[in-house]
Amino acid sequence: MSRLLSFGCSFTAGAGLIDIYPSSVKTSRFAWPELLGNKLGRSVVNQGKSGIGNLEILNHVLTTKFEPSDIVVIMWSQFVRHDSFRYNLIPIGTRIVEREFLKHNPIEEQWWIDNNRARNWLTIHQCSLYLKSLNIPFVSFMGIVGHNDTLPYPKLDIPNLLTDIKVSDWFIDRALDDDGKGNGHPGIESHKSIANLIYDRIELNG
Amino acid sequence: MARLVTFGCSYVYGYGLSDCYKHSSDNPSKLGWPNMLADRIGYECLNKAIPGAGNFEILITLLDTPLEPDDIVIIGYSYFSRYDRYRLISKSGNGKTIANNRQEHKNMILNMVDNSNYEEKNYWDNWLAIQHGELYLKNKGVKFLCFQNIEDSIKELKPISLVHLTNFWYEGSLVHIDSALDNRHPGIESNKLQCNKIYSKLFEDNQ
Repeated sequence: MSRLLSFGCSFTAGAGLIDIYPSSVKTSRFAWPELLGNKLGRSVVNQGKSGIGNLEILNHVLTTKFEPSDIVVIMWSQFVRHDSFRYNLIPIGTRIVEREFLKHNPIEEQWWIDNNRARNWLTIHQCSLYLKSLNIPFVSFMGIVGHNDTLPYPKLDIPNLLTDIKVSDWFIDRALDDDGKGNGHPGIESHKSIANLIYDRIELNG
Repeated sequence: MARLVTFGCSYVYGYGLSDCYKHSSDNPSKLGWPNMLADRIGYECLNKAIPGAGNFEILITLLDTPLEPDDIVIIGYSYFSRYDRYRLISKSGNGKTIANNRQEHKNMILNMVDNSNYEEKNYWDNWLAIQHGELYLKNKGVKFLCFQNIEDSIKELKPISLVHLTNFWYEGSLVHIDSALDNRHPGIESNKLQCNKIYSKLFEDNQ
């Protein structure tokens, strides 16, 4: 059976959903990649991994062996996590514990925000060009948008980035880790919405 | 007229050659290998090299330069150690070199978060930038050639399988056989030799 490969963070893994909660390392059968794979009649390889940023997603894509019949969907992660991934165990890399990373970084300083934003968009650009060079059908979209992430790096034409899919279009409920204060992962209805939105785009584009 | 578009640091800029030294260095030299090569093949030369640039700045310059389908692009990559000197610090995408001298640069690196693995991080940042440039140029469909222009900055550094480079010329480093007026940068004979090397690679290797 042809495969759907998904890449992303906990929003792709399905963190907080009923079949894996409270695990942060498993992937859920209720997460959008599984739902989308079912609609497309494809087996699913869900590479979603909690806590990862976009440089680590690029690393996952670069280290994946693709098959010609694969399709790929990427949900991009929080921009603030970009530098928490380091290529210090060649070629796999490792992640600095996020809370330690954030504690020591000047994330409130404008130069860091600007530079970090640009590097995220460059990573997204590079990953998209890489998949295009392999002739693998793919789309990507933004999963978590913070207040400093929204301005794309100018002049970058990013192939197959679904800019019209907004987080507000699909984030309609929360998972079991909802703390009642606006924190928590997307719930099952949100995952269904993502699967439907992406399915429509894939169908539209053949 | 079709264009030869070159990117790199002072070695591509031609700093130190007689028309590009001290107070007359606001524009790239016309005597360096980019112009020699452009003249030889009948192309217009657009030299986008920036003295002092690292490979991140070279990548950003490449991405910000409109290219035409019949352009030939040549990138002579710079010292790996310069990568983090350049940061994109404005919403418009314009960046800034934040460390202009060696001590300032050294202090900046020492102050970087988690500098215990700085060298490996820097290694990957550079190779990923080089891969990014290659993917971008392939996608543009232009003819291009990329290499490390400064010999001693690369040594054993070759990317492993994670960075899929298919068009990187590992033997492309400029051979320094004479010096320019500053006694540091390559002189006119070194530039002639580099011009011949690149010409052979571009137009004779596959014949």
